[in-house]
Amino acid sequence: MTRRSHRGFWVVVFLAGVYFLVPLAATIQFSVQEGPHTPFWTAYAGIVSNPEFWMSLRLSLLMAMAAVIIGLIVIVPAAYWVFLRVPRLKPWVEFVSILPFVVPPIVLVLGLVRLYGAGFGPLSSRDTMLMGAYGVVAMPYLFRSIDTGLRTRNIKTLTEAALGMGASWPRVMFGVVLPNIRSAIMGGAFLTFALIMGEYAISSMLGFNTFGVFMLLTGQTQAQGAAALAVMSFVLVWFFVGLIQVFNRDAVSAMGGAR
Amino acid sequence: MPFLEIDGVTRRFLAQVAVDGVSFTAEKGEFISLLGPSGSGKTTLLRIVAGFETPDAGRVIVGGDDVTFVSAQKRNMGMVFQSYALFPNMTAADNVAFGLKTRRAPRTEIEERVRMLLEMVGLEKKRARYANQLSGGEQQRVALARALAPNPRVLLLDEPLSALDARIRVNLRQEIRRIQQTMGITTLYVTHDQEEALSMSDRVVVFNHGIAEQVGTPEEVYDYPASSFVSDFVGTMNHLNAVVVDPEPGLCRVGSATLTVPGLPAGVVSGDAVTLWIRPEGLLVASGVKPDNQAIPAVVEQVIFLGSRYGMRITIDQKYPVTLDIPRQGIAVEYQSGDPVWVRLAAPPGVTRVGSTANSAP
Repeated sequence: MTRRSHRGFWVVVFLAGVYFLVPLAATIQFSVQEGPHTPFWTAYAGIVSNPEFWMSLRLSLLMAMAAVIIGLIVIVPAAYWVFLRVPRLKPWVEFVSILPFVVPPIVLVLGLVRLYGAGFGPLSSRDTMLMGAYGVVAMPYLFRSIDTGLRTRNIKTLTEAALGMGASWPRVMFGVVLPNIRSAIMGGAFLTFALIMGEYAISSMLGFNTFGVFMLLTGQTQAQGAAALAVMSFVLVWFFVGLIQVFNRDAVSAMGGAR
Repeated sequence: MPFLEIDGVTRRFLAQVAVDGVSFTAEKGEFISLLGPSGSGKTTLLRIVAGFETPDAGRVIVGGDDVTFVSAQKRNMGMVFQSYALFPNMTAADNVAFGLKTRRAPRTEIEERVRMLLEMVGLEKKRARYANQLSGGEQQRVALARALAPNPRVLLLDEPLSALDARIRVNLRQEIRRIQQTMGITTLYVTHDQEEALSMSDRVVVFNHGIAEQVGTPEEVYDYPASSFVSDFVGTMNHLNAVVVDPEPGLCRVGSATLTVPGLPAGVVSGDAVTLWIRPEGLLVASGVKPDNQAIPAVVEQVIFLGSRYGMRITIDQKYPVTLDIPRQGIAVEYQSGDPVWVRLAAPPGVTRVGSTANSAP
């Protein structure tokens, strides 16, 4: 690489850094900008002492976990089966899995309410509907990362090797397939998790006060509180991204070094 | 009664016939190579025997049991894959133990057998390594040990050496054969490498377009190829066209010379066109004066140094190209391209076909 193109690279890095970091720095600065007689953490203290904050955070965490679990139970076997036995159906499954990107949340919610609104027992409760909707939202992220994992880890041959040695299907799944696509599953799961933690449209339309809804309401009433909340959610997302890294590294070292 | 019986097995993929009515048998402890170019159906047949594919017609019989529709899990076959397919989340020892654990063998027995097999493939010291900490050759040894661990009825190897480099390939080839003979296990070995097939096998099945063109010992397949395809795919073959002059003593005209060819097919008469199939080592070359009346005049086209021998391309009567080998025996070859030489048969041709081959008819 020439000296000249090196310089071009650093200019781009600098500009991108400025573009991303300046608003973040400004938000942090604004969140701690208090009067002369108030401590700088006042906005943060206000958020943390608000019981609404904890309730919404708890609700979002539960819903995100439920979505990931529902998604994994549906997507892992489906992706595996399509990959292994009916690869010609893969374009269709892929199409279905990206539907949540195409269907706007309002349509999704209206559809859910119209279809399951009444008469389906537990399925008609708003909580179940929100969980279901989030499970659907999780699909594209989980499917894509799991499908990549299946392809890159030579899962078809590993499955045949295990079957050839007389392994039962549960043993193939839990002893061979899942451990080898663990980092792919984790990656998809954390991505889904982070996404649902900040989700607003679906939950507000179903009348829930999730973390996303709480953030928006705070932003409408307290300017500094909203900035503090934004910083906190950033930290939360970074925490999850860090967790992905740690899990991936563990998965790698468990298999003996870099690959 | 044969131990393994492949009986008229056919497998179609949409319009394409991958395996077309293949039949052969294997005795217990026999090593059989399935040899053929890629796409000739040999791997599909192996997968049918393993239970990963179901044939559209035909039967697979092992030890008297028809296993055609038995699932792979219940067949007890040992499979070694081209890509090794070791479980990356397990150590070498755990990989070898996998098949024993699925059969719920007692723990001490598993320990003992894993140690024995890893010792046999020379990897007892690396038992705690993961697949990516082993070289390709080592991974394939573990894969072999893993396939053998549950005492399979048949060992199936799908081009196990094709991803390895030449030297390791030759070593591992001998080692696989040694282990196979020690354990006395019936083995099917898929390869596209004719040298591998000839050097390892008790018998070879040569595949082309889904058909088993020949089943025979390596010598039979090499010396008496059953088809033009086999003669070209296994080694190099010269197809020399000749016209029968007198069938009784076996006189044939090849180009401008008249030779005595032993073993002409029965029923040929004077004037019939025949093709003599001659291996490169079945021809002798000489320079100088015409040695006898069995010599054919020819011109050297090219001399290629091949280490232990020279490969030579010559042209008979300025028309018919022929390849032959000259062993080195410590002297430099004195031939150069353009030199006039004499060629004669060192041995009777293994195969003489009635009818002439296109391209090189005299």
